[in-house]
Amino acid sequence: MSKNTLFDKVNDIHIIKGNQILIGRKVIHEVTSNPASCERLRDEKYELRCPETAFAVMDHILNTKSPDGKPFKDADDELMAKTLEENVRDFGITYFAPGSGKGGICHVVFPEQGIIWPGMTVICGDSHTSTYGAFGAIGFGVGSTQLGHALGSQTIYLDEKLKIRRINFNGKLQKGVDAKDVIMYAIRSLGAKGGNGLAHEYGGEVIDNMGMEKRLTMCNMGIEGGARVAYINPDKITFDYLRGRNYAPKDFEKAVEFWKTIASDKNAVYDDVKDLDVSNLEPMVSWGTASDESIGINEKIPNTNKDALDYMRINAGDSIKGTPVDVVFIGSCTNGRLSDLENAAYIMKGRKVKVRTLIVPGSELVKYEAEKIGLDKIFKEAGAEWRYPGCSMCLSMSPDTLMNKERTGSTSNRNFKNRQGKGAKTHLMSPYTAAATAIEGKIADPREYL
Amino acid sequence: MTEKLIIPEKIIKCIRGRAIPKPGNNQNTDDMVYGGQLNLISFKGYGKYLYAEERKNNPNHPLNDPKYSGAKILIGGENFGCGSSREHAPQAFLDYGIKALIAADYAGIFQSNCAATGLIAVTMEKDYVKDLANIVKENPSMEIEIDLEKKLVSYKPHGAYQIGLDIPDNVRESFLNGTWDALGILRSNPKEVKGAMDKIPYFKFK
Repeated sequence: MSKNTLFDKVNDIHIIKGNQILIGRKVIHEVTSNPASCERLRDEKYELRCPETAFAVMDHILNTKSPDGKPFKDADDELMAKTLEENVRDFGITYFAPGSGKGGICHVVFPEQGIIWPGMTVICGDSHTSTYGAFGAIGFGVGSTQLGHALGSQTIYLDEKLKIRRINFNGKLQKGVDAKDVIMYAIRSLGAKGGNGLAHEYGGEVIDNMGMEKRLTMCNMGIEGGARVAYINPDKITFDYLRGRNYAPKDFEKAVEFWKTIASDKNAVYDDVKDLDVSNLEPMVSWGTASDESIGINEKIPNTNKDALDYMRINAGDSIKGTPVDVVFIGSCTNGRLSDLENAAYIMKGRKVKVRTLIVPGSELVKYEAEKIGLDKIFKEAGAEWRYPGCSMCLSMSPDTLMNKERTGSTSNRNFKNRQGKGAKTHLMSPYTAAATAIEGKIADPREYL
Repeated sequence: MTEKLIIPEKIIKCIRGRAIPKPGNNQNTDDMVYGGQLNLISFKGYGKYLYAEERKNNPNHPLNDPKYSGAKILIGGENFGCGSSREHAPQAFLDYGIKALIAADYAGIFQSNCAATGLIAVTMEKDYVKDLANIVKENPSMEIEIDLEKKLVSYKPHGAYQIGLDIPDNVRESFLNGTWDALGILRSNPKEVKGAMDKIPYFKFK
């Protein structure tokens, strides 16, 4: 049984009794904010406890062609947006509306506003809540009913205590190899369900040297390998990122003292330890329809899942490199942060894209900062579309949903069937690889452009 | 010692009914409810969206097969319900009339969503799950009994079979005691919640 890990320490101070656990932050988006959550509180005439710990955005249904996310694609979306606005008003939830300057994708906005702190428990009706582990917080992705539990009681029940696996990422990454490649490799190595029942603690040389935005990418994708919780121990990089942000604690140094105590001890005991050497890692590309169906860009497509090959209309034994794509999408809660856009711009600068390319910043702040350093001009001159923030093409909820079974090179997080639109064929990749793919119109190795 | 809380009208001890075999590993919640259908503000009526894309593209889909209509149990594979946390998936099963799932294992968030919504999700060893799916294909009218008290799955294709089932202890108890619909219970100890908050430094940070 694990001992003295960050997860154990956070768990210990938040457990109330039995398996009832206290929640420090409740973060909300429009898709899960009403059914069985705020709707239930209204039905029961319950108040929302501790509204000062609740924050909301709108992200999934936004129209990325306009600054306020409108017009929505249909009347159902309009009602969903209106319902979110009513809920945040009536329950006293802090809301970063589209167009306010603080809007965008939940998992991009809440970190950059300094709302998520080390040692916290965070809940969101969204599987990618694992993202917040990048701060050494414990993010639980839940459904709407459990979100309602947290809104109404500030607590949820945990079904069972997770076991803790430490994953050491050893070595030094090659140029052009990104956090996205590292986490895709980890998922491929440990399997789509390798992390079921586990919290993953990421560490080692590679993580120690990784900036916060890249750590957010790593933890964001933790859930794709089954780990409901993925986290990284807070360190100087974490504290430096948080210092001065809008919602960071004002008594910051006192907070840092506490945060230092919450990291896993040197003598922490784990239920399992895995070591992954990533020195020779190549850029990764997904070929199939499950989260562990990815390969290095110079590998051949394997013959392990006929159904996936049929859906993707590719052949075992062929190269993944050179596969033509119809669309490139750079954005999402996985890869919609400034450093992701910088990586893409580095490759696109002075070149032209050969296919339709959507670049969607993860938040209004990311958009502002990107424009301040001229990234928008680089993308526009390359022939790419520079959009307003939103979940966009990551999943089939926004007007950017693919309609014609197109094939994408996408920096999002799921290569499932129909994920980006009915019949859409997704190849997941890093922003570097997506940019190179846009330039060639087929899946390309970004290292040739660096 | 406090008395054990029991909510009689919500107790679920046993599910008995016919089953739909839906084999295959890594069935994700996008498969169960397509993203484009998530934009409704209530869960009522989600049954019609269950596996809708698969059903549209495959006339032989088990949910299109009349011999399985009226089934209360669905038999999946490994890592059932992975991916998105959308509760629309378990809600769609319930609205469709599915009261229990049998699989080799589940993704964590999906399993918690089942527990919180009153959808029984039990596991058996993966070879038994595969065998059971095949037996149901041969005997679609066969009834299966899922007994949470005895932790057994029973069925009688020819001879009688009883296979051990697994379900997290807390979840099993919540079904047997009728306490799975937990919002009211979680709200019943505000002093303890406040006490826990007072002890955690970050709740006091300015």
